[in-house]
Amino acid sequence: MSRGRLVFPSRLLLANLFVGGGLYLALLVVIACIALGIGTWGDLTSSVWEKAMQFPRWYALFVGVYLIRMFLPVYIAHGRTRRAFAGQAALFLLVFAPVLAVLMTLGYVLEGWLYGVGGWPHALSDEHLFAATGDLPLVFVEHWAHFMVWLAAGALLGAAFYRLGAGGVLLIPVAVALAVPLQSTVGAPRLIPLVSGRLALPLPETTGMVVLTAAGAFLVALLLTWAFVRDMPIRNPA
Amino acid sequence: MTLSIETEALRLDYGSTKALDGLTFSLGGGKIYGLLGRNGSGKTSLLTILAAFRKATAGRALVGGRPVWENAPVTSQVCLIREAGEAAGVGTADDAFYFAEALRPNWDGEYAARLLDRFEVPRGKNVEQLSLGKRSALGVTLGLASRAPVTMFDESYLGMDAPSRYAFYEELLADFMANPRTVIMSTHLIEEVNALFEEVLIIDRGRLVLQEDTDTLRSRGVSVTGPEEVVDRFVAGLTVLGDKRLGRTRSAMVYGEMGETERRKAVEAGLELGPVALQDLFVHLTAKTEEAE
Repeated sequence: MSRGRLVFPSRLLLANLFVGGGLYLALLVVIACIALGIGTWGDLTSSVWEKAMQFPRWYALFVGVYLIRMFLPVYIAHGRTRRAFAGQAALFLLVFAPVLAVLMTLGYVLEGWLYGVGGWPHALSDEHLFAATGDLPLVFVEHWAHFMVWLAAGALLGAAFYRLGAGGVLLIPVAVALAVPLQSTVGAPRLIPLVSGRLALPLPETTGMVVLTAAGAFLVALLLTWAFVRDMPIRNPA
Repeated sequence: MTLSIETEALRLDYGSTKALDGLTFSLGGGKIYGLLGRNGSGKTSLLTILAAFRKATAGRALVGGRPVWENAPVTSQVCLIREAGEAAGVGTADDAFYFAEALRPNWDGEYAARLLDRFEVPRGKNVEQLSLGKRSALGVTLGLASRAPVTMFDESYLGMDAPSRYAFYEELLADFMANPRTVIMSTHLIEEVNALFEEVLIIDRGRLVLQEDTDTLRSRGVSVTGPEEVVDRFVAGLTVLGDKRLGRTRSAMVYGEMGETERRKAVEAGLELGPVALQDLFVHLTAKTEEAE
């Protein structure tokens, strides 16, 4: 095995792409069925894909949690250091977030084609960085930003729960706080259940601010995750 | 490739509990070592520090003369399999192999596949759905096929049935002969495994009780068998670890080396001398440290 192959977390990425790809295809089919159902028997006036975007974010959070919960022990058990894992994990998140964003953007394209065939209006019902479903660069940027934050917040929660057990709940407000600035810049306060509407910050809703808040939250989340991971004992699986 | 292992005043605290209490020892490497101790004696704590699963509270742990903690060139040479093994915590056995192949520098995939067949572990089934025995078999497979210069098994084969355990011992010995390395086995199945050990460490309450060649340790005890009254007279004043009686025949296990004169006397008295089970010596030695507290 070459050292170069180890630097890029190819297996980590492929393993997650394999699972994520399957879930994505399932989501596409489900959304297509729902859209066709509403279009055929009801009144389809806006994007169903847009409404479903909650699920990929929770999936991203889950991937972040499992990155620590499942893969960190595997890496340590195979003789990798926490530092080496942290580097690979950060690189993985940096690559995985845009990959997911591309898939979500592609979802809008496919849905747009379906709506075009059915003659339905492919409109948005929530506030976004992008004004129309065809504004693909901004569709990508908004989803990339969300995935960066949710993946990193998941890693933070994974580390907190792994290290503190039930005490990990104390880090949930921190994870929410990391997502709030981005939510505020995107202008869609409903994306985190219950709380974010009340916590929205008066930030400019610009592309630059979206990128900045996403990158900032990502960095803070990773630094906090490292604080937990740097000397974290590996639990006995039994 | 074999690597030495040293610890120096190693301490590990869990709150107010001292799991390791100034543990110091040195292993030359290139042998199969038995790590014995009662429950809670600190065996797992020691192994987790040697594998960098956990940071020591104080003291030093060295492998090949270099500190283990967060030292990539060292940790890549060390493999610890605890019970089913953390390395098996990703989906199926095939998934576990997928990561082992990428992360273990000396990974032998063909050997791993052969071992999995021998232990009859299904490759495509989720590890969590496997029986404890099969999970343990996957764990020892990952440990053996890692070919790590320091390979440690912490009770990892306890869940396996007897035929599988014996198959594991066979494979371990054969692989050790073909690819010499430093192996540490922590176990409660002392009688079953002790034939593999070249050297034994006994720890109790986080401290080293004894480190000795297995043969030397065995010579510390002798079983004396013969007519009851003759054995009674012979062992009077000696430390008797235990005895068995059948009718008027008694077999007493005596602790302490027996010189040529005593041996001759025993034979002349019509007594038979034999080895004592390592497990009995272990029980005696760990009980002694308890009494000394």
